[in-house]
Amino acid sequence: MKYFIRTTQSSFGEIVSIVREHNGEYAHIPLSEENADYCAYLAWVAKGNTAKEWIEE
Amino acid sequence: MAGTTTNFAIPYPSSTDYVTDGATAMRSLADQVDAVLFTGSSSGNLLINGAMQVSQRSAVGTAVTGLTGTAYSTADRWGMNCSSLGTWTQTTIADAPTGSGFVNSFKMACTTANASPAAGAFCFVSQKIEAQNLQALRKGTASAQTMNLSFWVKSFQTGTYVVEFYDAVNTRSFSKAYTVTTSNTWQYVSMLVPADTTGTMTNSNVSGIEINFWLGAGTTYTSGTLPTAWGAVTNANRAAGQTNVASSTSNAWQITGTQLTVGSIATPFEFKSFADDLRECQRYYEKTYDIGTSVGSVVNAGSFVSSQSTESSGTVNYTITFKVQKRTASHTISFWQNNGTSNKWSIGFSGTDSNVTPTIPWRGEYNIVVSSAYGGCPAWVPAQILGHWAVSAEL
Repeated sequence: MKYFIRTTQSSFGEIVSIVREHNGEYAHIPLSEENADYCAYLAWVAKGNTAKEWIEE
Repeated sequence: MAGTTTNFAIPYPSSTDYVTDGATAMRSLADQVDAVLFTGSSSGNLLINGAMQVSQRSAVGTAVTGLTGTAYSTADRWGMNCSSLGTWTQTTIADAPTGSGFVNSFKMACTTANASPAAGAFCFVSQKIEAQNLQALRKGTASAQTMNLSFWVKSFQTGTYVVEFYDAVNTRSFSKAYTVTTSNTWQYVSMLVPADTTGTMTNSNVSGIEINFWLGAGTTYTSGTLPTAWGAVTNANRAAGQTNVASSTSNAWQITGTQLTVGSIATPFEFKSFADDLRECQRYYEKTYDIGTSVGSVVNAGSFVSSQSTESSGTVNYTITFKVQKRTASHTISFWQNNGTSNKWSIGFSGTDSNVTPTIPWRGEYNIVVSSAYGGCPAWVPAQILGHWAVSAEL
């Protein structure tokens, strides 16, 4: 399991999301504590981990 | 008239009974019928996909291997929550009790054993029920209702197993044991869950009560005694007496026909059409791929396609509308190209075919706006977007 912080610019403004990579599958997670995946990310961070910055290919 | 009770478990009088007080006898019968008609059957099944007939994430018969943590992998709405206790293969499998009307079951097979779990290790299979769907329980009030959980279970390992009812809103729980008496044989279990007059259930889309079928745990969760009533969560009591299914790679545990109803009587299983079950499941998970086609498959069928124009920034924006309103707008989204590449969609413009990682600027319960920006894509030119998606709004 890997996490990335992805920040993109669009005509809608700046969009920040967490991208989770697991077994080659990527999921875009919103920054919302209503989301169980985001809560899992926060727990991962609480263990001392830090997400990498997402680099667009 | 056969047996000692009606189909709704109302006891027949014995042939030697004499009616000495007709009014009392009639009142008793009326109360029992009322319990069924008013507080029992009226709630329907609080669990979704109890017959395991919907399996969007992985087709029936397709095993998902190497599972160790928290994940929804096979039958919709049924998740596993494990930590430091074995490695598992999970399958929605075409195996069910003969003559029961069920076809599929949810299977957990241990593939890496842990016969001596650390104190804090645990593993359980659960379904989390939205709080707003639990109002019929009248939880936290003087008129709180009992529940009845019924299910079919088959396990290689005989022994004591625990089902936990975990109130995630008020951090309260109740646990109850059932016994697997014969190895690898389907058996029916019905258990009464007492009413809880403490801890009001909020009326919203958060997790309300979580039904946890324990498969094993360390002493942190097993060293106490099973409670006889709801109470504040005491970890040591949550899975007291639980057999460790992770003790051997010979072990496997299966379940189907799960039903949770309000009232004290186990009502007959409420069989639903596949379409009805699917629609209920899609509030929590939906995908473009056909049923039976795993996400990431190389396939065009079901793919999202939109031919339109770039905007001034060269970005293509488009709306994806869900078939069913999602539980929350704070959902998680994954993308695939039709060639199976994860986290990419295809974009075509001005004779150029490439791929791009989509962005989700707007998230709603009914739809999302997706934005695809490709470097060098000119403004106001025709562009086509192509790809699959899956959205999860699970609890």
